[in-house]
Amino acid sequence: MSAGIDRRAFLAGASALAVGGAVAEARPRVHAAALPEAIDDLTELTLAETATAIRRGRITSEETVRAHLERIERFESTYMAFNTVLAEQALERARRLDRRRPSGPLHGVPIVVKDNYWTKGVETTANSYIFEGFVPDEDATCVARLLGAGAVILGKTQMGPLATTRATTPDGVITTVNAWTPSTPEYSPGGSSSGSATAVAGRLACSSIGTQTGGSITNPSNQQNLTGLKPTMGRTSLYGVIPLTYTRDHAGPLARDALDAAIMTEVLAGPDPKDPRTQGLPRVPDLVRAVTRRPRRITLGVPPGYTDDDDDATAAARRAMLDTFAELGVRVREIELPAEWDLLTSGTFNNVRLPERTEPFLPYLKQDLKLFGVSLNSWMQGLFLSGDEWLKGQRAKHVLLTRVLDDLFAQCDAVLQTDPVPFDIIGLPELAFPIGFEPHESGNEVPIGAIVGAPPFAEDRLLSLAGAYQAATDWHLRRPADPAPVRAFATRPRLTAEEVERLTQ
Amino acid sequence: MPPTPPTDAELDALILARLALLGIDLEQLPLSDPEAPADRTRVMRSLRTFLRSTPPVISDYSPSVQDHPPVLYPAPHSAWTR
Repeated sequence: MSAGIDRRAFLAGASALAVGGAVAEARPRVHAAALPEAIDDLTELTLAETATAIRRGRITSEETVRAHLERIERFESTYMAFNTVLAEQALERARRLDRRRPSGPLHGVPIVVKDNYWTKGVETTANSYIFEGFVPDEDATCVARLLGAGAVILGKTQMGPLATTRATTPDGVITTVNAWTPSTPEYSPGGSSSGSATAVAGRLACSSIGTQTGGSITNPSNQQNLTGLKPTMGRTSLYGVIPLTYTRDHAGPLARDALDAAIMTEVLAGPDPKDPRTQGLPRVPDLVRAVTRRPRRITLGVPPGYTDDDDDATAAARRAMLDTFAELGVRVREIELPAEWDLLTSGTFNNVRLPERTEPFLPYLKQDLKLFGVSLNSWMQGLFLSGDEWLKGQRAKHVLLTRVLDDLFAQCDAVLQTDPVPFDIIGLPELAFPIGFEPHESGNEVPIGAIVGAPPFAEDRLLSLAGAYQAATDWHLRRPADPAPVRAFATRPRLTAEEVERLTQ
Repeated sequence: MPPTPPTDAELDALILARLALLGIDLEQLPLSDPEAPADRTRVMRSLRTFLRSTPPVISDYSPSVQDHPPVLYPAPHSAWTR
């Protein structure tokens, strides 16, 4: 691609790419003001750019799929982002799509899917011994919607075992590396949607989907310079996702930028007859248009101590981000956290999720504890919370929700987060986005990210903030260097059960 | 006077009895093997820590029963009720 590509102009023009509610039947209006004149490297195009280029006949789906597969062939032995690469199926689907008139918003676009989403006819393991050999006979709703929108699935991505922590084998040996530090496996790629993040950051796919129960979309997005959106609970269907914690799991994209995250979320979102959690909720707004909407009337809340981080680089990046938002017309305001915030968002109250982690897996606990590998502890802990304590935990969620809506959001329209877990507990939307870089001991620079949260179903507000910020900054445009030749798998370290317990979402 | 906190041995008895009632056999794991992904010693230590830390804090918390119903899905609940 030419160095002078003007993605900001593209962003401004792309607001007309409307996805609509009925994804499979949608005929999006595509308008890209600034597709690059020369497209030298197809893997550098974002999802929006790729979809536009295909629609305009500038490239074919087969060409972009082949370009991504070539990178997978070259670098996957280092990145270890995949559980399964579907090279032949992807090429065959791309060629089939190239023979059709583009109809869906993702027509011909190569993406990847976390390995806890059911994929018809393709093994779905959630990186666990429990699901070895499990081949679903239908797609998860999110997967079906992506396919209905024309996506080409390149493969299933690595993840923390059963979506607990960073990607490892079930026994804890580190697999996926951070695309920004490929020769330093100790530096986390973020979890548990590690492979999805590395695949997108490493330009092995245009975009991806992951799941989040306690930071598993926002954390890897921050770690790898991506824009990740954890939608409101119920906004996206969880049907066909292997559960980690049934009432806390969320499906959403890990994307290159806010526009791509908006497009992916519009495809994924909406009611699903197979998932009652998606029923009776507010309609999905025009998320793509929200990306180009100026967030002038938004008050952005800043929690106490937000710029006092011990890490000077993080604190400096946060201060610069706040300055940028102020220049964009966003009102930036320090806020007070609601009463009992520390208690209600503590690890102790977060543990209320554990019995529902255990419940669907009880037959496997009885069958063979070794099936859980290094992730066993939290499944066992779920057996030791009483019914009344679990119920009180559900009341505590209502207390936290009430105080967040009535007290916190009385002070602001969106709020920066220092930890994704509080909003995960009550199912509120969160968006992760890049805000800078800092040196790392590996010699590489590593990304710094921020997380912003909003009231229920206000994903459009988050995308508006991120879109405006990304139109004024270029952190999200940076790309990691290609990794050096292969490292031996045996040199990769291993997580202990205690580390997994501490890091588990 | 609050009751005397349970000893490790008392907690171990509670844990093993509960597991036995459910039909979960901890003996499937090695007794102590740092190289194994999990062993009985570490699982028991993790469960003792959990029992000492989580249930007492939650049980001490007393939200208003009238004002705060138990909700599984807080964010959708807000859309369904507000």
